[in-house]
Amino acid sequence: MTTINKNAPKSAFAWRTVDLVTAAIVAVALGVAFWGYDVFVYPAVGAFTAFYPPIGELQLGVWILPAVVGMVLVRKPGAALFTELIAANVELLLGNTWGITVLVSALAQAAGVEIIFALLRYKKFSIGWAALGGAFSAVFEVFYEYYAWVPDYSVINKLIYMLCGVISGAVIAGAGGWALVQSMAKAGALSAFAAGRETK
Amino acid sequence: MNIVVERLSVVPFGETTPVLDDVSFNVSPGERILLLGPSGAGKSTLLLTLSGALQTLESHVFSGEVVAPASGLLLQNAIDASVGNTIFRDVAFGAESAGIETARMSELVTSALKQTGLDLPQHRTIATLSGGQLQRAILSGLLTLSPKLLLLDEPTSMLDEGSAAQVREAVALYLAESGATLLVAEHIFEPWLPLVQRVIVLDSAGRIIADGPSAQILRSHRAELESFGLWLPGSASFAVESEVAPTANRGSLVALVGPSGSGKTTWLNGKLAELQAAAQTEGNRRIGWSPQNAALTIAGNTVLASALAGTQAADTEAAALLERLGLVSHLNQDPHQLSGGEQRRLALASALLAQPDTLLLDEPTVGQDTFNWAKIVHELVAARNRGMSIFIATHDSALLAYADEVLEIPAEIAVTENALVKERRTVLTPLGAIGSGLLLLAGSFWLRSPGQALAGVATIVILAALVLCFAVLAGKGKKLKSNLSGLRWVLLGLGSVFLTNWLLSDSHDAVQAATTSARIAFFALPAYLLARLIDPAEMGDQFGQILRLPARPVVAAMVAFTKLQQLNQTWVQLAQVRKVRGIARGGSPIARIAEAKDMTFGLLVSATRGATQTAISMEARGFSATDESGHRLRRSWAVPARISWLDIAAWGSAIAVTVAAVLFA
Repeated sequence: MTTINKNAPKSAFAWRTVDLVTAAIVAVALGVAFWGYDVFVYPAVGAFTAFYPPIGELQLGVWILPAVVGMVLVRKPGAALFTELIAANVELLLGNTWGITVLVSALAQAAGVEIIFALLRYKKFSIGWAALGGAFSAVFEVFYEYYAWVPDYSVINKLIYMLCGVISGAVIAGAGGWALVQSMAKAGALSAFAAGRETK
Repeated sequence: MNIVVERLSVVPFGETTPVLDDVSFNVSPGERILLLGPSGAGKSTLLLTLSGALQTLESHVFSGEVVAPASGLLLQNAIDASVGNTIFRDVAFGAESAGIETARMSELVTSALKQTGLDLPQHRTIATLSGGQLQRAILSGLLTLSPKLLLLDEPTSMLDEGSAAQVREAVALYLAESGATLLVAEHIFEPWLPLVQRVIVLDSAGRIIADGPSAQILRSHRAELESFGLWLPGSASFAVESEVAPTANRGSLVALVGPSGSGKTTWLNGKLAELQAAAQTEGNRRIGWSPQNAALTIAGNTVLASALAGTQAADTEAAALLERLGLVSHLNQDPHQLSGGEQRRLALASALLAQPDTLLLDEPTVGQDTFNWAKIVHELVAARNRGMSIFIATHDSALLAYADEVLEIPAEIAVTENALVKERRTVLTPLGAIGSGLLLLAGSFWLRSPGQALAGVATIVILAALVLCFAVLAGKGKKLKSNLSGLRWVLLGLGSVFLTNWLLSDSHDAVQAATTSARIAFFALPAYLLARLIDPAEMGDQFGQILRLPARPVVAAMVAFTKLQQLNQTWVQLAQVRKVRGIARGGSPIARIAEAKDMTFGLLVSATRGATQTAISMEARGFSATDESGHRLRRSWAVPARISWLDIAAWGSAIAVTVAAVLFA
């Protein structure tokens, strides 16, 4: 039965259907976009970083982007994790080089964003906090990569690797993800979300 | 149960003008009502409010009272409204939400499909259905719950006449059998008239201006309905005159017709590719293109800027054309904020301003009122008379009167093997693949010495070779080949891991770096190969039923994965549109990154718009349904999850391989 329930008790942290579906579909869309970059972005950027691979870590933020977008959009516990895990699954289905291991990266890439916004109690969503979340996620991911992928790097190379990752996490994922949500809100696509109402 | 709407007002959040203003009416059970009004009169808002779906979006402020029975809601865009990857899963969604046990599911789905006359294999993928078939599949899903009220929001406006008639027949049959109440809003409403007895008319301010027996209202309010631009019976064939006389090199207007899903769009895409190839060799030939999803052609922050992007037209010329297409009051507005019909006209304007030799249009007149329809046809006829070749994919029969040639595209799409999902496609399930992949990743950290790493990777290569031989013997060689071609990137990556761990280390110890890359190969090779085996729908079933993860997020993710192919097409079309319009950036890495940003934004806007519709469709199928005490119903699963003996074997081998390699040295 349908009624207009004007004072339904709602928990600020409970996910609505539109939260779940939008976060999931945005994640799939980002997975498709990343895969699309293969054709025209990565070759150009890849050639640029081939001479010194730690610089390649400047791309890391692209992979953390879904976590920030999901969190700034939905603003509820688990938003970064949910969005990042689905985006990672899309990469996996479309065929990426590192297969199932992207699921582990997804956990690391969501962790930083989840922690920062949990500490803020899901109340502050400015560009600065988004950048901090992206940077913090990059720290988690780089530590995982130290251990799994580049254990033999010298200390100085590891530091440069970390620095590039953190800058990328803050700029591409943090600021970039925040800006993407802002422009979606300006385009009127987010009227069902707090992020969309702020721009009115 | 009566429907009671009492002084209902609905205002979008943050705005002051209501979409529905002080609306009151009562409906007795079994009444059949047609909602009429100009575009933007709040017909959709009313239907969504009655279904209860709009309330869950929390995007509007409501006042007044609404009481309505549980309902089935059919939306305009069936692709956005679909929620399963196969007919069976899509139809079963509502029954799953209601917690109906798995054993009864198959019977329920079969009888609902019989009611709508959709006689297709239940494991056929949604992506291969025509628009009309998909709309009937969704209707079947609503009927599984035997709703006392059907709410139809432009359910046939994107369909050809034949498919639309089948949808209407299915609705009529259900109403006759169940005695359910009907509320329908439809642009071209004449075919619905035999089914309804009562008409409610809303004006552009969202107020009810007439409510009564249909024949009487259509007579007494004819002038008003005409002034709203509605397609009244008998008005469909009015003449559009062009002041541009045909020149000596008059162009041509070719209409492509055929059932929705028959391949009109594919034909246009083929033509586009052909023209692009010709333009490259001959040069100096311009193409205009507007795809069905006209929002993809948006480029720029204002309507005027978007129309001008990639053209050499002057501002005044663009403004004049936009005025002729009824967009003059929107010139400085964000084009994303326009309605769907307005976006179609903007897309047409930007294509015309590029002064193409050939213009390709996909359904340019969908959802237009009579005034805007005439404006579009007027511009098309003028352009044709000036010498343009125009190809239009359309199901709009009124448009055919202006075509020089009508090309019939044959009905049935070839159903390839891919169109059918076998419920047991792989013997190794997603949990088997993911589980063994992660076990190997964890195990790799115990491989410390060169000997251990070498033993580990050797065992993996031997195992993989054995499995591959087995697969070739089982006749899967062809599919394997395409999967294996990606392996060279894995090998390249492993090479890069070796080089960097060697050259960028303190010790420059090649043996150490080789050990590291062997350790990585130990998990990366199987991780790559196992990823090929994962089917997202089956993975969702397993996560929900075996791992017992919360059903709502798991189901939302499964629904999102059914949109993968559609989003992929959107991405390809976005790139195409930008190339055709000459607004794609390239060259330097910076320009490419800017291009990636613009395209990602375009894709995300399109995805979130669709996502809102999908969420509404899920709510309309009881996704958040509660029992009397307000507790959410426990979801059931239409397809039981399973673990195969191969899964257990795969986990066992992953552990065994690790242990063997560690003990070896």
